[in-house]
Amino acid sequence: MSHLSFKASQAAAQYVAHALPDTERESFELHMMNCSECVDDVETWRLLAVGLAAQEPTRRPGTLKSVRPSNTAAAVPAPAANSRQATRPGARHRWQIAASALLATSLGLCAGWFLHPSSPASLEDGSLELVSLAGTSRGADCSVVRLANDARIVAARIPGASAGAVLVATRLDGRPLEAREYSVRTQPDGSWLVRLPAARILGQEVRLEAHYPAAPGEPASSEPVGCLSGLAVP
Amino acid sequence: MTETVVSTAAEQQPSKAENADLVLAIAEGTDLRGELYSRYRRPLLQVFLQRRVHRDAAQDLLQLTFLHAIKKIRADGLDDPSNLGGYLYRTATRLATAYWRGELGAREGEASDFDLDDLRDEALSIEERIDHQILSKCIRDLMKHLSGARDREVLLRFYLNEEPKSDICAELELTELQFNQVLWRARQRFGEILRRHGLNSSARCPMLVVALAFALLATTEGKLLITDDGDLGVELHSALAFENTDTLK
Repeated sequence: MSHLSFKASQAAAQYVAHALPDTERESFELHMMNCSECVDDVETWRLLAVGLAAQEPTRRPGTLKSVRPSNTAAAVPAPAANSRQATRPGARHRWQIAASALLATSLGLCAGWFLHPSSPASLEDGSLELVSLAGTSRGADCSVVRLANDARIVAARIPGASAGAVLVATRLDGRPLEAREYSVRTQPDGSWLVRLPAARILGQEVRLEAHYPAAPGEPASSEPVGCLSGLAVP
Repeated sequence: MTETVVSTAAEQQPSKAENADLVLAIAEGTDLRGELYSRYRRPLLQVFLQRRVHRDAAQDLLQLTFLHAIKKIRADGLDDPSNLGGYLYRTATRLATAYWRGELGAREGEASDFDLDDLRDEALSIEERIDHQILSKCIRDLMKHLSGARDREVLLRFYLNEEPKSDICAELELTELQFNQVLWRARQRFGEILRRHGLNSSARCPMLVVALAFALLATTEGKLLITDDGDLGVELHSALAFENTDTLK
């Protein structure tokens, strides 16, 4: 597409609103690399979007809609398939190990799928929201995550994972979430990746804390590293 | 008219020869980081922001992008030096993917070879040059001066809520043309407000504005007009749910 086509189709405006199809987006981005006018347009639209978000962080508080609960109920152990297994502890144990391994593999595959770059559908269709928390604003204001109606999963990246620390998600009152409600992994670049159902943060704050176990001469301690709050958008 | 447009748009872009010269100079060891940043930092920053990379992390990724490019140019050269922008773009998108997959090592993340403290103004985005209080004022001005409640509604829903255009159009009973008119008006007015605060993006080329007016006319039904104060305007025939005259400054 030519510069004029991009201008006539308001490509910059649509780009910032994430409304361009993938192929068009790539084409526009490549064009933008050498077009200062389109960069100006994109910057202006992004400025407007940022300004709107800053002015209306709690827009339409009455329109919060419930988000479909996450389909990650796989964390709940499956019941025994039949009574015979229940009467054979050894076999049951083996089945549990096998089921756990299968479950872990499934969760790993799911996480890999959600975060793999070749799975844009989950991003594009809004079912996965990615959030990158700033290392410099730890423990400061809660990051508001805009959740579309079909948002199911929120994945938040938190830089600066400390060695030996465990990331714990808590409610506003400090009570930790149940372990099956979220998952955390430490990434090779020294960041944490927290994954939790969108419904968990919808209209409420979830705080993220680094917990340090007690060491000789030092009591256990914790440090706030971030906070997420979901805002439903139609 | 079309030929004029093409040449006008092309004038704003670094030519292929300029890119090839820049690559050659970098390959020979000339310190042209400032030139490289001035040309490509702003579009690359948008590429990262579009992928929801946090602004702080985007700065690191920008440095890494340039670092990779300079190393590559000096070590192996580029297959097509005239397509420097394309190479930087591909590098940036790969780094953004690696960032989200947590594949960037801590040492890579530092990228301390590059000091961006002395960036020239032209390498900074508008957002990096604007004070947040001024931005708030600009947004308030814009919302105040938009012609109707539905214009504001469209902006909020498209940019704040990221609702699909088709949904907004269906619910507000807008044609695509009317929707684009709203965006066009908002962009023009926001641009004027920014200019009043000395924050204009680049100056607009009058010939390009004229050409765009004709482009709009070519894709819609309407007519070109000159307003009382001498501005160029486009009158678009629509359902008249909106103010239907746009002025191109």
